[in-house]
Amino acid sequence: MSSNTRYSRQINLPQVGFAGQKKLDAARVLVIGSGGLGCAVLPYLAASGIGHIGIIDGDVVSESNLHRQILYTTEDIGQPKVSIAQKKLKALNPNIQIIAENAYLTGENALKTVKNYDLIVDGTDTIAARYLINDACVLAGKPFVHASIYRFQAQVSVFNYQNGPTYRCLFPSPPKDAPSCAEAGVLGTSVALAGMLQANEVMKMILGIGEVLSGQLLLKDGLTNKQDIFRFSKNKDIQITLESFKKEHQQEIKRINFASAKARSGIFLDVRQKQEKPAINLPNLVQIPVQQLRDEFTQLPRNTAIYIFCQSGKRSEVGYKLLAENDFKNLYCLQENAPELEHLI
Amino acid sequence: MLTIHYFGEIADKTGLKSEKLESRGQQISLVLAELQEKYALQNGEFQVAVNHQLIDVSQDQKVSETDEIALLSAFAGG
Repeated sequence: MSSNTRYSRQINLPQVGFAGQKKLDAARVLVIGSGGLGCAVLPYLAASGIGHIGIIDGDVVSESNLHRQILYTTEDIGQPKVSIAQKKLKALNPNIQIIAENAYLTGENALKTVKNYDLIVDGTDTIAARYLINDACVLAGKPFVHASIYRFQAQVSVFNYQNGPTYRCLFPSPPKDAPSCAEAGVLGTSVALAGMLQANEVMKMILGIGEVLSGQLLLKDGLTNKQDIFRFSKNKDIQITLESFKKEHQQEIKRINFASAKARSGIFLDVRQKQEKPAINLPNLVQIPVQQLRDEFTQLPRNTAIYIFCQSGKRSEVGYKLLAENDFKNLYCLQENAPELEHLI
Repeated sequence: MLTIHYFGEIADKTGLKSEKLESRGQQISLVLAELQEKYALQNGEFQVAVNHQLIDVSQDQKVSETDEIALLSAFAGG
């Protein structure tokens, strides 16, 4: 722990004191997603002296992020979010440890990632990711602080806290399609308000003060300033096992060869950067680099098959998972990629 | 009069943040069936709270005239 001058204003609180500051220093918090919510939560966690902060996100900074993801500046466009976030947070507080993982949370890495932390913050932006975090946290026995946004409204809750209700107790089954911020639109201030409420729950849980939003869903409307708290109980019929986790979150990627794909209906999705060679020309081809897919998947059709390829097959798998998380159903990774396709067309 | 509040996408579908409904002290299932028909809401796309307590709609409880009902759904954005 560094000099107490840095933390003196919070140590002065009778509810914090030196003992509270020690608790913060000993805490290990993982923030999943360093987008709108993550950018609101992270600076306050770091500034308060939480000793170990993990950040996991596989996205890069894009221009459309900058109105709300305030850890990033114009010159960071194209850079991995976690690297920039780590640098900025380290400058804010050099006395803490910040572990950055440039990857998306998946069914393969979720359990081993959350295991290393005491407390998880869900800063993701898809329903599928929220169920993944819930199930991983339940299996690993970790509480997590949830926030989600629809336009000007935010929902905040703490799940799996001291064996309390989980996300599935509140929402037993996923909705058919809940839009992300990219699709529905959002003000930076709405997402920041939700992030502040999350960070505040983190502080209370570590310090052991106040009332934690466990079994309670806080719903805040930024347009009316109205705030509601809904109470809900644990549903003992919902059981999450390693087996159910694997079945739901470690799904196999469907693959198809070019000849079969060409004979069927659907579109080809090239997830490489525009300038990459060889250029592939097909009549029903869409090109969206994998880094921009999260912001631009809305332009893809949902009523037809999508055959994904890249240069080696690696990025097409990332794209496949991202689209699957966003409820695209008819997805395939092409067995051949651009270098092979060039000779087949 | 029963008060019904709508949140998130459900409010987009109803075009209202809240409304009052005539109540005859009926079962909640009847109220919900009326709203689902009026606004084309699908089963399973919303959760129901009565007086700020989430309820299991399969346990068909009676609602009284002063009750506040809320329909809410999961948000994805962040």
